[in-house]
Amino acid sequence: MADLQLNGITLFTESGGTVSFGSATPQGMIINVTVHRDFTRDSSSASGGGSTHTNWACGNFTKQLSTSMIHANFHMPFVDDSSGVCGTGLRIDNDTTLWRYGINYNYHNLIQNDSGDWSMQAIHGQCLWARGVVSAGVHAMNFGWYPGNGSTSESPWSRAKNPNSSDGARNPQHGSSVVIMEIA
Amino acid sequence: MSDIKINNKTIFTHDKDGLHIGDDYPTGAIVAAHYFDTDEDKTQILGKENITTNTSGDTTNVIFKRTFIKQFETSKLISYSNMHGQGNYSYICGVGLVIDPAPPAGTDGMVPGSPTDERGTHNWDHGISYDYRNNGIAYAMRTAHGIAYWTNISKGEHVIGFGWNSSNSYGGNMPFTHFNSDSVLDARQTIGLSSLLLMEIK
Repeated sequence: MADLQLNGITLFTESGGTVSFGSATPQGMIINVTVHRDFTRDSSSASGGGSTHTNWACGNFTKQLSTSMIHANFHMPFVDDSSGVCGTGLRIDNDTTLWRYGINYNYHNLIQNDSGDWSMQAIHGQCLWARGVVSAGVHAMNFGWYPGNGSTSESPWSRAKNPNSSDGARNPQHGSSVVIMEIA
Repeated sequence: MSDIKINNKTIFTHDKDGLHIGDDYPTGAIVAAHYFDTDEDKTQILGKENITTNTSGDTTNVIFKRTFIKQFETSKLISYSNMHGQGNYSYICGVGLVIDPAPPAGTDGMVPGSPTDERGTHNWDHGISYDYRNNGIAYAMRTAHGIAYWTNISKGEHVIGFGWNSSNSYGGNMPFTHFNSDSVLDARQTIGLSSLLLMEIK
């Protein structure tokens, strides 16, 4: 085990042959990227709500520094409008203080199946958890929605997320992604 | 040539071409970012030109291509897409980003139907999509956006492309009739850019 230091400040540290960033990594550097994806069509009921509702448990990420920020970029395609606006967001762990509502979709109140091709749209956007809000260590990223009025019957779609040829014969399997970046 | 090392692990290396990230730089960090847009290539199809629709037997069209160099063999690639166009056209057509697309058969960018490297084990990624409504407005605008990700691309020079790859071999489909936007279809519109941000993750 060894450190690479500059004037007593640790820039990099090595342990067991693996090099990682030190606690004095310059602020603003992206030091770790975790990607989770889901390319499985899901037509099960999308209804749900509540303070810890989870539609997609995206997966874990490991935050290396206690003082860093977490930024997440998200994209999830789906077909067929449902009830309307429902408060889509990302939540870290089951901590209701860690909901962030920076991901959204265009809502048209228009159910359309034209020649077998269903209307298609996507939930997308980005969320930020400021420095020090999330502790160092392993955490879970979750996608879901939490309607402002507490309703448990709202949802973004009524047909399916991650569409494929079942929703239009020309459609290859589409999928969802979340990109989690740790920023020193 | 010289290196910066910890316990014989190389973090940075320097040669006649400058300073480079070493093989033992922390995994998960971004080691390169490439931005590509349509403004830098005047030969790119712009809004005033129809996308060719002579698609007999074609299923795949790659209308935007850029070259990049991947630095590490085991690194991953992620790309954010913001590709837009005008003119409502077909329905669903399978938009995606692709690494090293097959060469077109002719001058229209179209690839013959069912090329083996475009299906199955291909490098198409359909993590991008667009909002579709069949509302038939000629000046409708549409943006293909989202996230693509690859874990199997080798070190060296590659091409990233944007296009579509229909799943049922039914040619003639596309997300819009004109790539990008300008005032030809709608006098209020300025020339808009389409772009990709491509990042290499160690």
